[in-house]
Amino acid sequence: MSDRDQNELMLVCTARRGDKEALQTLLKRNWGWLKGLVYSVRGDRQELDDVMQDICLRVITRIHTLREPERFRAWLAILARHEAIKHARRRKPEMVAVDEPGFVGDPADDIAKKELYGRVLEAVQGLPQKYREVFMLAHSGDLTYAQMAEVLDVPITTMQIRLVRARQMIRNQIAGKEQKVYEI
Amino acid sequence: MSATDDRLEILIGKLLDGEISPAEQRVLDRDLEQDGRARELLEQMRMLHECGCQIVRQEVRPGGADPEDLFERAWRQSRGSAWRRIIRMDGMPRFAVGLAAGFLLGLLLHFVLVGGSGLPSDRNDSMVVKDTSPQSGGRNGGWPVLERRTPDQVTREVEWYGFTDQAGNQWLIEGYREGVVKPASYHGGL
Repeated sequence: MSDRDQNELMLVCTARRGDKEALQTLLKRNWGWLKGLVYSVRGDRQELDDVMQDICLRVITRIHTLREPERFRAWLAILARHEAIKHARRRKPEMVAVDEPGFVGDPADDIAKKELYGRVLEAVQGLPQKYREVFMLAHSGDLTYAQMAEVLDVPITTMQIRLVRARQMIRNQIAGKEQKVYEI
Repeated sequence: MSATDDRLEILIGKLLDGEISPAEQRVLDRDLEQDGRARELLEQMRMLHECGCQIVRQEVRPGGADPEDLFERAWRQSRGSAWRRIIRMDGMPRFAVGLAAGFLLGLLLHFVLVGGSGLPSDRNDSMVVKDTSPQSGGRNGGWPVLERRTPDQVTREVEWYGFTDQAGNQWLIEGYREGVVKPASYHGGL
């Protein structure tokens, strides 16, 4: 177990006793991938802040029910998925503007990049949830493969295969190839 | 997609995600050197990786409330009123709280309704019962008549004491505390 993991374990133990600072530090440390996971469950960023606040609330009120502190990330991921799904069920559909990514460089190159970005985004949003989750986690840059497997609660090899499949599906969609349906 | 392609994609993925080991790096370098298709795949996946990171930066990270603010709001919400917490409760805790509240309410009603009719001494009704039997020449059809006690008739800090009225009747009085008397029993021959 790394120093960081050891430290996180201590934080979880302190947080379970209701320590505000420990709770806040834990959530802040896991904020990036957590937000990515919520986004991947919902497929867009509507009400992202509301969901994140509800996740904070659930963590604060339920942390004492966590039986295995070393599985905090997996527990947090389950809780986050649950909250994201709950919000998705009761929300009303609305139009959301997609921000244009700000590329700097050759205008022709920028247009090509923007177009590619739009197509990749569309392909990511069209992925089945479990592939979208692994893709977003991998690109959040916060977690190692082992931590991603922990969050997804699957063996590391399964996580790697899912990531490969997700990337294949996106490349196929961009290339206009027919999608295969994978069962991993 | 063959197993070799999968292996190559896993290796390239690991390279891009910073998870490749030195041994895997050597295998990948060899593949890239020998296979033009592998180099093409690396280029495609590199672009896809950049786009993936861009999506996280553009779609997930920007804007929104500060994590600390959201945490503070959630913290305040979690420390809401007792009523809110009870309403949020479910299952056994809620049942237990309901049961306790019912018990307390029942206890309160018991003391208000039943307790209110008893304990005459606590009401400080400084009355004494005078014997009104026909032998003593009383009125009111034989019922005891309450008479107002005068302050000088009180004997201080005595539990039981005797008292003879102007008509010569003798009384046995129970004194609870200063200024409070309770009718006891009267025996004509006392």
